[in-house]
Parts: sequence; structure tokens; C-alpha cells
Amino acid sequence: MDLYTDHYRAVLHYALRRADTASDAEDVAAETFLVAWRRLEDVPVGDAARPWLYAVGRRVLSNAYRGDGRRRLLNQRLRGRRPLTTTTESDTVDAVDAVARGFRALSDQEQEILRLAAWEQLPHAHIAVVLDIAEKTVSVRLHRARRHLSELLVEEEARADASQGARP
Amino acid sequence: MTPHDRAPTGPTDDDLMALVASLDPEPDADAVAGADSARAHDDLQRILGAAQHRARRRPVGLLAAASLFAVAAGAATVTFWPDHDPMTVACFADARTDADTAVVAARRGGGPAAACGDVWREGSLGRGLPDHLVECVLPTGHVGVFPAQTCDQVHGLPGESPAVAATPSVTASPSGKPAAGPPGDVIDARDRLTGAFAERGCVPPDEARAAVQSEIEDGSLLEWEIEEAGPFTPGQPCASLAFDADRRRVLLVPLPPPPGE
Repeated sequence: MDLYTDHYRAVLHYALRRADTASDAEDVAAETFLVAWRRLEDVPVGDAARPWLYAVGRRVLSNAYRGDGRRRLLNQRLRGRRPLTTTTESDTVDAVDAVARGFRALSDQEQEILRLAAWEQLPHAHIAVVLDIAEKTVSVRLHRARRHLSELLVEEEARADASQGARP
Repeated sequence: MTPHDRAPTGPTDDDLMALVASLDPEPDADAVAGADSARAHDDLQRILGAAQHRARRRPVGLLAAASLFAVAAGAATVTFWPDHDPMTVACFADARTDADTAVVAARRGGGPAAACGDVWREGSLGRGLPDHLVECVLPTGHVGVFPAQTCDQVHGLPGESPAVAATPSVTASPSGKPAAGPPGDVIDARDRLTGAFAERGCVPPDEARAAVQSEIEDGSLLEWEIEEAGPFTPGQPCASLAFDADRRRVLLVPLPPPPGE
């Protein structure tokens, strides 16, 4: 089963980034391929198979971690992140925390499109397949999501500056 | 460069994507097993086994359609309450989970399939009364009524293999979906609203309208409009939602309050 061999790791990786536990992620991957197996005639061939599988995995995850529950789980994961920069300077830690806070403040839709672009490194055409939207819409939504995040980071910075200025 | 350096004027797009990438909860390499891992091998065996045993579904009842009273809205995809005490029932037009659906008020004592019977008789779903209606547990945990003899005939319902029984399945995929099915954005919006409403008792119509309006403004329900499916009265002060993909309308469906409220 080439589909399984070729894409299992990527699908599991996708699920691990979003599921609460490794066991949940493995279940999601299994369910994703179960759906694919049942709908084998619908699975695109070649590179297009992967975003198709991500789309199925996204639905499986969406059902498994609905609404606030999913947001809470992701937030927990993000809170647990440590900054990638190896430094003892607190401002770097603050900056990473600020980005995480800004990201959490985005809508689920905004977060997911940014994740697909930044984490999975998917091109717009593949993001469109995963989200089942037009490629043109991907561009618009990515633009809006980046702009929203940028605004939130500016606000975070302004708050940090005001806080520093208020110190004696 | 740190995010601090850029924040006063706002980071560039590339910087923003790098910042988002830095939030990636990169799983441990050991956790990202390949298809040759023991777990993957076991899952594959279960998948192949489950595909051969699709008859095992979760029917909650099976009965021939009867002529019973129902309060029907138009053909739509629907938000409804959990199966343990449904206020509304989703009557699917075809044996697939992304088919058009009529939302009806649940009958006291009649059961979901009985409530859908009259909708079929009236022709609201486009055809005559089917020979059989079956109640199935949807991936959301709610009950849907389909024109089929068994839940196994319903496309889009989760299977029940030992490996995946605890994980809900999908209701749509980006390709191979019937052309009449709603697009992914609409399904997502419906799922969000369903999730938000499912945990609630009586949702006032103003609140329901605001929730839908938010989805419209967010672009998920682009060019959709809100329409009241009937008058909200002291006897029917609660709102449920129905989605009419053909007319791009979200219907606010008046319902009586749930028992105990």
C-alpha cells in the first residue's frame, strides 16, 4: 500500500502537531488512512495525495477536538513551548511569549492557515485543498491572518513599552 | 532579530511566518514513526480488516417511516441538540452525511425517525416516502435520520474498527464529494456553530443571529443571509439553526425550550 508507506509519517507528523497526545495522533493517523482506504478511488495521485490526507486528518481532528476544547489543547501546547533561541535574556523569552499570546488570540481559522503555511510549509494550492477553499481565498486569508497577527504583536509591544515606562 | 526588534512598526510577512514557525511544537523525532513502525503496521492491519467489515455500525433504531406530525423547515443542513434529549432532528435527503437536510422539531415520544416521516410524506425532501428510515449516530454524537435500511449504507458515518472506535470520523473530504454538498467553509462554520450550540440549552434568537453574523463577517459564510424560519413566541423562544446551501440562507428555527428550562 504505497499511499500508506509514502505518507504515513507526514500524516502522523501533522497529527502530532495538533493532537493532545502521541496516542491521539496515532489514532488520528489511523482514522485518516481508514477513510482513505475506503475512498481510495477519490484519493489523488502523486503530490496531491498529501494535502488530501491532511484535509481528512483535519476533519478527524476537528471532530476529536471540537471548538473550545481544541483551542484549549493547542493553547496548552503553545504555553509549553520554550524559545528556540538559547539565551538567558528575559526579553527574548518575553518576545516568544508575546508571539505565542498573539497567535492564541487569532481565530481558529487564522491559526490553522498560518500553521499550514509555516509548519507544514504547504504552497497555497495545497492549503486550498486542505481547507477546501479556492486558492485565491487562501491568499486573502493568509494576508488577513498575518495582518491581524502583526497588529496584535504591535499591541503587545506597546503594552510592554508602557509597562516599562511606568516602572520607577 | 527578535520579535521585540520589529514590533513597533510591525514585522514583515517573512518575519511573521518565521515567528509562527518558531511556535511549531515540533514532535520528538522518536514520536514521528514511519510506516514500518510496529504501531503503523498494526494500524494498517486493522484498517484493512475494518474495510472488510463495514457492516458494523452504530444503529440506534430502525423502523419504517410513519405519518406523524412534524414542524419542518426548508431543506438545509442543520444544527441540532445531542441525541439523549433532542429538541430537533436532522432528516437527511440522501444516505450521506453531507446531503441536504430538513430540520424538524422532535416529537415527544415519537422518536427521530417518526418525526422525519411526515417531512418525507410532504415532499419537503424532494421525493416520496422512502421504504425505510434509519436513525444513526453521527460523528458529532447526534442522531440523524437517513433514507436507508441500515447505517452501513450511509456514506460518511464512522466505522467501528477496534483501532478507531474512540475517534470520530469525517463527514466530507475535498474531492469525491457530491457536487450538491456544501463547501468546506460552510461545513466548518456549521461545525463551529453546532459545537457552540450543542453545549447550550435554550439559545435566544438574538444570540444565535449574532453568532451566525460573526461567521458571515468572518468570510466563512460569504454572501449568506440570515432568515427566520418562523416567529419566535413565548412558547417557542429558542433558536436552532438550519443551513440552506442552495439559497445561501441560515435559518433561525424557533423551538420550545428544552425540558426543565
